[in-house]
Amino acid sequence: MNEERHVLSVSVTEDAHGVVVVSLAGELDFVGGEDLSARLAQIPVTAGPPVVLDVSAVRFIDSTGLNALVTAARAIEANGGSVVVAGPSAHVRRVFEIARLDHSFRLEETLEGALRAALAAQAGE
Amino acid sequence: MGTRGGEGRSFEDTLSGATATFRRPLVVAALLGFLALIAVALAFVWRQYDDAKHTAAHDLRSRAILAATVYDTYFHGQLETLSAIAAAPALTSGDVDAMRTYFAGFRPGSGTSFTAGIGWIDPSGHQRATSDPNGPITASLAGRAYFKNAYGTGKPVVADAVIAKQSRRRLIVMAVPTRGRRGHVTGVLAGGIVLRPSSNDARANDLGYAGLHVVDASGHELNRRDLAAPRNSRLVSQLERAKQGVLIGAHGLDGSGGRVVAFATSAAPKWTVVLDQPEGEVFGDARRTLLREVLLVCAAGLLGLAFFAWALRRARKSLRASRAQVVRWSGLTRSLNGAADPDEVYAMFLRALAAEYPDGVSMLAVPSSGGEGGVATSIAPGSRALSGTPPDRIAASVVGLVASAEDRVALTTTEDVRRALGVETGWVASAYGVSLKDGDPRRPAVGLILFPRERALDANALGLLDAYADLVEQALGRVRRHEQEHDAAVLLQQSLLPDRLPEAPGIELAAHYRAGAPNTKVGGDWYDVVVRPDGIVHMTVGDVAGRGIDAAISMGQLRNAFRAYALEYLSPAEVVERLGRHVAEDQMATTVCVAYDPCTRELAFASAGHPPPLLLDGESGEVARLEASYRGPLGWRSSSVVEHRETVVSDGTTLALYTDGLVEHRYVGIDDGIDRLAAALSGARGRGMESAVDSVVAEVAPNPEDDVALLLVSFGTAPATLRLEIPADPLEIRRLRRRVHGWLDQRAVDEGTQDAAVLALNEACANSIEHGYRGTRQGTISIELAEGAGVLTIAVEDRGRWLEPRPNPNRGRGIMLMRHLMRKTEIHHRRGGTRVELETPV
Repeated sequence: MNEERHVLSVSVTEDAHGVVVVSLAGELDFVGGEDLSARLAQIPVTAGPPVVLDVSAVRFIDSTGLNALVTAARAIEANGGSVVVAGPSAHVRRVFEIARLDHSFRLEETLEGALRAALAAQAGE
Repeated sequence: MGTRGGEGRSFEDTLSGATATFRRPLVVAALLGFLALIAVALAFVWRQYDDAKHTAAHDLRSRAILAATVYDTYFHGQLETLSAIAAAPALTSGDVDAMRTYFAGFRPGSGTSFTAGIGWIDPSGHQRATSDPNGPITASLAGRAYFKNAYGTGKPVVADAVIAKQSRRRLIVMAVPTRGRRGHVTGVLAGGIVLRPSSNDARANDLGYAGLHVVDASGHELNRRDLAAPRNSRLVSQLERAKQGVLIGAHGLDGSGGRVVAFATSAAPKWTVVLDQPEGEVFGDARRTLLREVLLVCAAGLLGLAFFAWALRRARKSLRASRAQVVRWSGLTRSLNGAADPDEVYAMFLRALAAEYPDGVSMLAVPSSGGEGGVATSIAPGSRALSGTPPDRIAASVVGLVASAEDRVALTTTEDVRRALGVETGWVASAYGVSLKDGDPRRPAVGLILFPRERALDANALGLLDAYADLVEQALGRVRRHEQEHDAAVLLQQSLLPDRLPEAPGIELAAHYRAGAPNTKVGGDWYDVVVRPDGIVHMTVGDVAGRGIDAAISMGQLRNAFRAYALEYLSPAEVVERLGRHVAEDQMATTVCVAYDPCTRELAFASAGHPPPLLLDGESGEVARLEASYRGPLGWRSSSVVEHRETVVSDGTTLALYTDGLVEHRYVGIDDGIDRLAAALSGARGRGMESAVDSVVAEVAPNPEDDVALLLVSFGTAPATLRLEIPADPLEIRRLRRRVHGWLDQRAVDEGTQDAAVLALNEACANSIEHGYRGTRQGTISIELAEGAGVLTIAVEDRGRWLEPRPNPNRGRGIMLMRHLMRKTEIHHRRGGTRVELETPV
């Protein structure tokens, strides 16, 4: 009822190919958005790696969450990286669609697909 | 007090005068004075007796002197006669024959006083001539005392008494010397007198000569035949030393004591005349007088004392009566102090009247309006049955009478009563009426005391009745004030407890509360239910150690604190923690707080040393305990309170919160008590909440002296409409989302619609924060959710001022989301705030 457990958890890993995988789990709302921004700010962006945002475990996203994602993505792209969103749920996808972000972001069904897409995007440069 | 009568003394004064301590010193002084008087009289009487005795004694002495004088005179005479004979020529011549012839005329029987004869003795001591026809005595008389004395001294002499040898007669011999022509002693002429035995001459005794004794010079008692000396020789020598006198209380001549001895000496015969009489005879008169007078004085004294005693008794009786009145009075005062209501006051008053007027009394108290509502006629218990009762018509007349009298009314005869009241009054012969303020100045009453006999009703009696009336009036006032205070106290107590349980969506509540201490409505136990604006319900029971009003006061404080904290803090643990601050160091209190979210159907609870709440499954009847990890009672400095959680309750689940009065049995452990309660709960399921809570308490609460609180909560499904208010805070919105999901689950809304609705709601709330409250996170957001008839409506309202913000893409997205997610989205900006209405089909 009044659980204060971290509603959003953010973990950043790097796979064998140097793709940064940001795994989000929980609710991406105003509070969660702040968490995300803080964590993303910690990613070394010198080399502009490809980034996969794994949102398969995100149960909720609202406008502030979207904002956080957009801001983060822009920052990554500005540094030469690319962003792929992996595994959005139907609801999350719908939110993206309503916000007309489905074209701004590359949405992939699965994590593997997103990883491949990220590598491809990087290779494509 | 006692100001009714106006004139005269107040009743109190009269009473205190009557019962003043009976001036004992005065009484004692009077008694002593009287006794002193008696003593003086007795002393006087005694003095008189003394004097009388002395007079009697001296009287006796006078008689002795008289007797002695008589003897004296007699013997002088005899000696004269003898001397005359001695001067006769026959004797002076010395002619013996002439003497013989002369002496023949002195023979016994011739009338001579010398009854033993006379004779002439010559100087050699031989009797030569005698009157005795037998001839002269042949023996020599030279040795005889009388001869020697008369011959030697030449003076007449009276000899001591002798007893004649032959005749054994007692003789007194007198002798005178005879002289010749030349005057020389020629011989002795002796004459004898025969002593007759003293006769008890009655006449002599009457003259007071009883006990006459004569003792001659040689100690012979002449009364005695043998002329023996009196036994009491000491007395004799005493008598001889003094010539005359009287001895009182001396031993008599025979030696016996207690005699009065008067004596006088007769010179001629040298006799001592003794009047020896017993004191009783001598002092007889004096004694009789003394006795008489003493008796008189004593009689007078007794009479005086009797009178005294009578007067005392009378005074005492009146004192007792007054004291009895005082006792009755103070008895009434005392019992009136304990009267609890006006009826009791009147009853006590009537009892006092019955004691005061044992021959019958009746009392009537009516409101001054004369109508109903008055106390009915009361007849003093113990009075003989008064035939008939006064008709009720009297009441109206009485009221009028007393009101017009302004003060009080006393009617002393039947005629007076009839005339004053204007109606036939039956048995009433006299009456006393007075106005009584019944304690309520708006409702004065009239008291009427009725007597079956005509009573004088003098100032004292009126004073008494007035005083009684005053007492009753005061008592009535006191009783009324006490009632008011009691009512106020009850109201105050009741204010310490919730009078009604709140309406809470999705749950049904029932409570039973009982204070154990007598005459109190509240004790140390409490229960309460707070429905927060956000829809979460906090429920609690608690128990402050102690009983009665003291515990209730602490309880009130804790309960109020709970209400404040329940609104402020979501977590029961926090509520309980903070409640601990309100418990004083020397107090002990336990409590359990359970929070229920009707949306998610989750229970959370925290306990501070309190028995575990019970959760009853409505279908299976099984009862589970909501155990908390052990923590001491409120206020104990221990580790912080742990919040426990229980899973979702289902329909028909009932929660029971209770205090230990319900489970603490004397010889049974608490565990067993809880089991019993569980069994009772299980047995009562299916009943209505109100009847269930009462029946469980009746079944289980063992000790009527313990406070008992039982709160039953039964959980139903969420209502179709939900109204919440949350603070404008992102964290709150986050919570809200989860809860609304829970409610939507209960309303069986599908997942997709739920997600959309919750998101839309989220955006609307975010807007309120951003715009309405300018992100200051102050203020509240009101949310209304309604699901039914295939439609879900959501309304979000804030009380902030809508400001067009700097362009914020978020908000734009937010509104866009709302419009796309919901079938209908309306945003109303008003002066008081913004209202967003959303609608979507379900």
